[in-house]
This record gives sequence, structure tokens and C-alpha cells, in this order.
Amino acid sequence: MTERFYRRIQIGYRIFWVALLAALTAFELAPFWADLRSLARVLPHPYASTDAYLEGTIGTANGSYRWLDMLRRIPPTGAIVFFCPKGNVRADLIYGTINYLGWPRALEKQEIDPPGPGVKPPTFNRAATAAVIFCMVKPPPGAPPSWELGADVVVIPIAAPP
Amino acid sequence: MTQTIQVIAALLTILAAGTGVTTLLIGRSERVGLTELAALSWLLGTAVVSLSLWCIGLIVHGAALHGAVTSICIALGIAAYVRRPRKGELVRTAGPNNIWTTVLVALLCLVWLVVFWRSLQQALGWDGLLVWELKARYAYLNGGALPQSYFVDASRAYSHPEYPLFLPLVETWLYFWLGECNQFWAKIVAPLFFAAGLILLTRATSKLCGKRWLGLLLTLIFALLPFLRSRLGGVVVGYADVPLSILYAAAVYYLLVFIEANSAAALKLFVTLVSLLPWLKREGAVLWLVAGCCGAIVIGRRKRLPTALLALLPGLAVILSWKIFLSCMQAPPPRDFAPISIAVIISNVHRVAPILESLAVELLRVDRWSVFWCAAAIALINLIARYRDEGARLLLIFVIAPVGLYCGTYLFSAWEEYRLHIVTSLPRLLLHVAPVALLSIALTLRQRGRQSELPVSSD
Repeated sequence: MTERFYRRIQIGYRIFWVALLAALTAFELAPFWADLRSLARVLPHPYASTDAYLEGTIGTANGSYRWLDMLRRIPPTGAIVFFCPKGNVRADLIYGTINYLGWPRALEKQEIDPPGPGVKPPTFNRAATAAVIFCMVKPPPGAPPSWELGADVVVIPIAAPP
Repeated sequence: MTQTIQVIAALLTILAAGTGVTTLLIGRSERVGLTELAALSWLLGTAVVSLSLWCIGLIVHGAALHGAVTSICIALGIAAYVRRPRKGELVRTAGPNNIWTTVLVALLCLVWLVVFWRSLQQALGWDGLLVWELKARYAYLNGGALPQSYFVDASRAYSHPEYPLFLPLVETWLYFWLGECNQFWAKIVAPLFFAAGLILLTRATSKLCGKRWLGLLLTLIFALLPFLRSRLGGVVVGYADVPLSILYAAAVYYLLVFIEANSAAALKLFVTLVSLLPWLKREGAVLWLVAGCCGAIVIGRRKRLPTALLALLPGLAVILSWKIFLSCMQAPPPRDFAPISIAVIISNVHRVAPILESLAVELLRVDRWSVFWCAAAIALINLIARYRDEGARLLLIFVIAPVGLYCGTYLFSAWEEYRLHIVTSLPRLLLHVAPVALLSIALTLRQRGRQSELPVSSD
């Protein structure tokens, strides 16, 4: 009697675990199937990730090469100032990506308040600055000619002093 | 095509170094199967390469550094060849022995291939790029070692300069062979850790539950977890969490082997693997503390006290060396946490309920974890019932203690919105203990009274 009872418990225990593992697998199969169906051809590219981020944030294809090309044309000495709205996640993503690519130069981030009464337009020390980047911020009127890196991002090189 | 050959060369040097270290640790008296040797070679080879790049990179840079580390890898590879098993001693990993194991092995390979391909297809995750790959890139551009200017660069403080360099320097190693920084090839590192993890998990679960097909099934179920393929911290994003969880599970497994078989090889593997945890990620120090202390107690019972204390020494050396290095580089202290003090605990005690609530919500997220944590919870309850079994007791501690300590750290979170800190990091922290939780499920499914088959040599 006792042996039969324990045997039943043992069978019940096994059935319980089979059901649990089946449930575990059942929940996993749908997302795996979705992943399996989304497989596509991949092309090796040295800037695969930064390009993806720049395309996602500012809509620029080959954004990494484009930014690196601009960086080469910016005067080699002086700061690069990056103006962006305060507490904006998209601006943080753009800043993180182009600052990453900009090594060994550093981008000096200056977060500014949204335009409104009493809010001063962005200012910078022209003599010590090589370039200014306006990200989701309008450049001040009368600013020198700029290069467009992507949607809402313009780069203004400051001519090197003679 | 040329790049593929260069990457294969980089991987072969890693495997040569790893095979050398594994062979030296195991010695001639004990043997491992070929797949287990390959998995251990990857884990230990990446450690050798990253530690060598870091240490030698303090003295030389560029081609000299590349040459020096390549020489170490080749020397270790030669050592492995010299100490190879003689004819007749070779251990072959038993292949699939029936249709079910064949199907399960094939499915496991399919899952790994899908994860591998998805990794290549997707961009590195935000932290994968700006915390881990960033260091690899800057180190490569500086001749293989991160310059002091990086550690004090306030504009790049978001990249956590204080994080250890295991993963970044493995990526730097690929760049040395490629001759350029390449975000595409950097993405192969995490899937290779995943492959090593699946091999070791299959072995560990098979031994713990006593049935090969069940071990394969459990590993397959684990590999299918949606979180492992998610953008939050899975294999595809290239974070350090997957490699950390695998190292931790491997260390735990070899400690269990040591307990069962009193194997010297398993003890050496445990000490080596557990010491590497703090070198992989800052949270690795927490895992080292838990596994290291429990391991020292276990070793102390079987060997002499000095042996137990010696087992803690390599991990302690890694932690202290990294601290000293950071202080020499004048790296700013981490900003995510406030200094530990009673006053902070008292002022943040109100966070306990939200932390526990977030933990419960995360554990029950079917879209990320399926019902894995429910199964793990049932297994852990079962292990409590078997508390007199030392292996069961340890598995219980190895799952619960790190989670408790991780949750405790949120009391010191310096984030303005500490709930956001929990939401963004807790799923990845749970991943660290998930493979060990799988081992507890495997142990639960072992038939009572069944003899253990844990020795390293019994393949």
C-alpha cells in the first residue's frame, strides 16, 4: 500500500515536471520562430553599429564615414562644442555615438534650456573652438556656413586663426 | 575572405593558449572530453590573452605587444602538445548515442546558429558599443593599451572607465589580427562564449541529472530563453553579462565535481574560473565573493586551511591589481552607487519594498524568461528539502545569495530615479545566476539514490 502510494507520488512528480518543461518550451518557441524568420544576409562593415545608430537617430546612411570625414576637415586644435537640449535621450544617443567616433578628440557637451523668454542663446569662446555642433538646437543667426551631418544636426567649423 | 582568415588566426591563438592552460591545470592523471576541452580552452584562452595584453601593454605597445602575446599563446599551445595524452589515453567525447540525443544535439546547434547569425545581423547594444567595444577600439588605436587620458576624460565618463578589460581586450586581440577596428567582427565574441557555455551546461546538467538526453533537453530549453536573444542584455548585444554567467556556472560546476570526486583538476579549474569573475565585470566581484567564500569553506573541509586560503588569493590579486591600476590612472570613482554606510541604508530603507516588487515582476516576465524562474523556484524549494546534500546546499546559496546582494546594492543607488536603475539592470543581473539555476533544476531531476558521475575524467 505504502509502496504503491509513493510510486503514484513519483509518477505525479514526473508528470508535473514534464508539464512544467513543456510549458517552458511552449512560451519560448514563438519568439524563436520569429527570430528564425527574421534572419537575413549580413555584410561585414567596420562601422556596422555606429552606422545603425546614426541612421536610427539622424537618418544618415554611412554616418560614421561622413562624420569622420568632417572631423578630418575640422582644425586639429581647439575644442569641439556640442550643443543639445537638456535631458533629451535622442541627443544623448547622437552625442555618445559621435563622441565615440571622435577619439582622441573630446566633444564638450553643453546642454541648453529650451528657447523661451530670458533664455540666452548658446555662446562659446570662438578663439579656443575648432567646431561647434548644434544638435536639435537652432544655430544662432549669422553663424558661419555649416555642414549637415543629418536631421537636426549641423556642424560649424571655425576657421583656424592665421 | 582575408578578414575571415585573420579572425580565424586570432581565434586559433586564443584556443592554443586556452588548451595549454587547461592541459597544465588538469595534468596527466585526469582527462577531459574534446568538447569540454574546447569550451574550457575558449574561456581560459580569452583570459590569458586579455590578461597578457593588459600586463605586457603596461610596458610595450603595438607590434611588440602583438608579438609578445602571440608568443605566449604559441608557447602554451606547444605545452599542450607536449603534455597531450599518449596513444590509448585519448578521451573522445561520446557522440549522440540514440536518435533522441542526435535530434537534441542538432536542435542545440540550430539554436546557436540562429543566435550567432542574429548577433551578426544586429548592431551591438548601447553598452556593448559604448562601454565594452569603445575600450577595445581606443586600446587598439593606442597600440593595445588604454591611455591614461581615457581614464580622466570627463566627456567619456559614460563609458565606465572603471570597468575591467577582459571583454574589451579580447576584441582588441581581434583588431590586432585584422589590422583595424571592426565593429562587425567584434560581434562574434559573445556567441563564442555562448557556445562554450552550452557545451559546459550540457555536460554539467547531464552529470547532475544522470541522463544525457535530459541534460541536452534542459540546455536546449535554456538556450531558447527569449532573454538570451533580447536587446536588453542577451548574446546579441555583446555585453559582458552572458560571458560572466557562463564563467560563474562553470566555476560552480567544477566545485561540485570537486565535492563529489575530490578531484585535484576540478579544484584547480574552480579556483582559476572563479578568480576570473572580477576581471570580467564589476559585478563579478560579488559572484567571486559568494563562490569564493563557499568554495574556500568546502576546500577547507577536505584539504588544509592554507589550501583554502590560497584558493582565494588569485581572485583577490585580480581585484587589488585592478584597483591599484585604476588609482594609478587617476580614474574617477564609479558614480552609480553611493559609498556603503549605515546612514545610507537607513535613509534608503523605504526602497526595500519597491526593489522586491521589481524583482518579483521581473522573475514572472514570461516574454523574457518564459516560466524558467518558476521551474527554478520549484527546484530550489526541492533543494531546501534536500538541505543535507552539500551540492544542493551550495546550489541554493549560489543562486539566492548573489540575487540578494544585487538587490541590496540598489539601496546605495545614486541614480536620481533609482527605479529606473533597477529596471535597466536587474534583468541582466538575474542572467548571471540563470545557468546555475538551471543546474539546480538538473539536480532536482536526478533520481534519488542515483550514484553521482561527476569526475572530470568520466566522459
